[in-house]
Amino acid sequence: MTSSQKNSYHKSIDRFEYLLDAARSREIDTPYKLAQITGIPQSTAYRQIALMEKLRLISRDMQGRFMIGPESLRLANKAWDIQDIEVLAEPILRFIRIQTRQTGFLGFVANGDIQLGLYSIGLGCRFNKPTKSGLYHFLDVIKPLTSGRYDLVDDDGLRQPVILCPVVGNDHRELVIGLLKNDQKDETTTDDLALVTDVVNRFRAGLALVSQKTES
Amino acid sequence: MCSRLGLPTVFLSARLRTQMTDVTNIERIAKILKVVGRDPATFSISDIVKKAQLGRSTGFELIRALKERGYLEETPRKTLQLGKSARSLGLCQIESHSSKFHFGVPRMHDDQVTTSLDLAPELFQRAQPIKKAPPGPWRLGFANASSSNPWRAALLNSVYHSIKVHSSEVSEILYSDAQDDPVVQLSQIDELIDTGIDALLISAAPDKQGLLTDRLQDLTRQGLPVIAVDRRPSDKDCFTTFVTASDELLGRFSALWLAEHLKGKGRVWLLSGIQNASPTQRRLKAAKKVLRYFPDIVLEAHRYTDWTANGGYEASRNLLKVYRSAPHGVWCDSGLQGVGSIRAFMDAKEIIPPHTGGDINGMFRLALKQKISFCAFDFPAAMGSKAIDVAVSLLEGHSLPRRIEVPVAAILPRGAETRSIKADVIAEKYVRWDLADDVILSQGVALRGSGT
Repeated sequence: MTSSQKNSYHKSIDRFEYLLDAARSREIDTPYKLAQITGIPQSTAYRQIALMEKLRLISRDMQGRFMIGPESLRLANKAWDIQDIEVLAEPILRFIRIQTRQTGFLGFVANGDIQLGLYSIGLGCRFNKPTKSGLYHFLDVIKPLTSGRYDLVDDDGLRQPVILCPVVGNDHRELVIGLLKNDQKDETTTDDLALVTDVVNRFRAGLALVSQKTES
Repeated sequence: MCSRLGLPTVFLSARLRTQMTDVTNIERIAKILKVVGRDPATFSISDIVKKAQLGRSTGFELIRALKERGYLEETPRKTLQLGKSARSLGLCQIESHSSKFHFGVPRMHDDQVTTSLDLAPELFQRAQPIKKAPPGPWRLGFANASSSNPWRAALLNSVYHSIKVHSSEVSEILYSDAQDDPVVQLSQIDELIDTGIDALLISAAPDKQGLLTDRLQDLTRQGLPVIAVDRRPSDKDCFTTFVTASDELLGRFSALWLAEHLKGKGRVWLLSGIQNASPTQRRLKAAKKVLRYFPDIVLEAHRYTDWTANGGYEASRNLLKVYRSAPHGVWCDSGLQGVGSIRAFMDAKEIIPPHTGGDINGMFRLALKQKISFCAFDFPAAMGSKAIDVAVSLLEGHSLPRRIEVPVAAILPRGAETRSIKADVIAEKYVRWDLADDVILSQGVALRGSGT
């Protein structure tokens, strides 16, 4: 195995990641633009995009914009050892967005970190966008996690207050639903917490049904 | 000359080889991750290489690279599981979002009407699993209620577009149009079934007497996936899953916008679609529920318009004759009739009151041109495409909820926002001046292939 062959594997992973990252932005609606933004040569990019669409690693939304595909989401769920939850999570997150106009998310808590998964981006001047990696760290390790307001920091050390409400978990990881909040403490926190708690209860009911079906 | 000199030929094949390597490596990466994801912490590297059917040398090196990049982790037992980078693959927005517009977030005031929505319980119930489907590609049937208005034509366009996208999974779609007659639709369903389809899509014709119920129940009991789209049959047990958008959201928020825009008082006319169609009833109920919070809003008249411009025109023209003056607002559950209503006011040389209702390009063009205050919640015709996705997912054996909702966006012209209703999309940016009036903008990517 030559070093150039070894490098070619990393190069392939790079391209795999470029295309996923570009699809993640949900702003690109043609393979041409996707190729341009990733810097991958046109013809290679076209073939790779077609292949990744075929493998459902990326897909398109109703407006034709590229997005993360169901197979990528399935892999992430497998990596977190959790059942497929997108179909249950999507209406919940849309509901949070409509009710609060803030960014709601599914998060996975493990080892003092939280990795964001699906999220619904808020609207308005006060919403926050997740960081590019979607990874945050707790300032203090809190066990067991209870519903409430927490302070997180991102990889650059910037503080990000959140509201979190645990859904299910075990000793190693916990699935939470949350809201990205703004820095200042505002009076909507209590309402937001009540809303997220209500949503989590519905979500749990949905998950229970999934489990029953699986067991039967 | 090229082959005689040799150089360009060598150059081309090297380039081609690199491209092919990239493509196949992506396929290999997907295979490896899938094998490890299916049985985490079970297999050693050599097992995975075998299971993913990779060459030994390539497989080992690619797994090494994936470990270095955090996609795979080694357990103490020397087996592999998905790693940190795989765990971050799920970071994804559920819907696209325009970052260009930043409006203020509404704060709830004591006197503000609640905008709370109900979440339909079916969103959290799983559809009955279907019996084992034959291997694809599959044949689908689409029993459409009708294609009597541009929205329904756009729905069909969206279905056909998705069939092209799913060409490897769907070999054929058979289509029938019941012209809003449930008796016709019943016989058309039988004809589709006789052809041996693997899944049935249905947009139910208005069926107050439940004529479709027994047949559809039989089909679902037999294990045929029945996917209702846009209009569901009246009985909830006679379909596998329902692809729709929230009529409640559309009805409630458009009514709330109108009430807030009128500062809580005035005479309002309500123009609905087809009398017995389920979306009509749900939108109307939701709108009335909100308008009840405003005691000074008088619901002066209610008419059905069959979701046609002509229906909207006739309704408003006749109401103008009865009441002799324009109301303060017109709530339409769609722009399909809204556009006709606006024309009726124009022809009568009356002041055009604020309207609700989007869907059709002509509504946006006319309202913007006439500088009418309006609010649109487009009911996405692209749900036709979603219904095909759902059919394929069910046939592939995936478990799905009983109800699947596609997102609905608020579209308002500049300056028309109210305390509670803010724009997701600005109407001036959404309208297509280059396209015809009867184009449905919410058909999404299918619009590109429509030739309009």
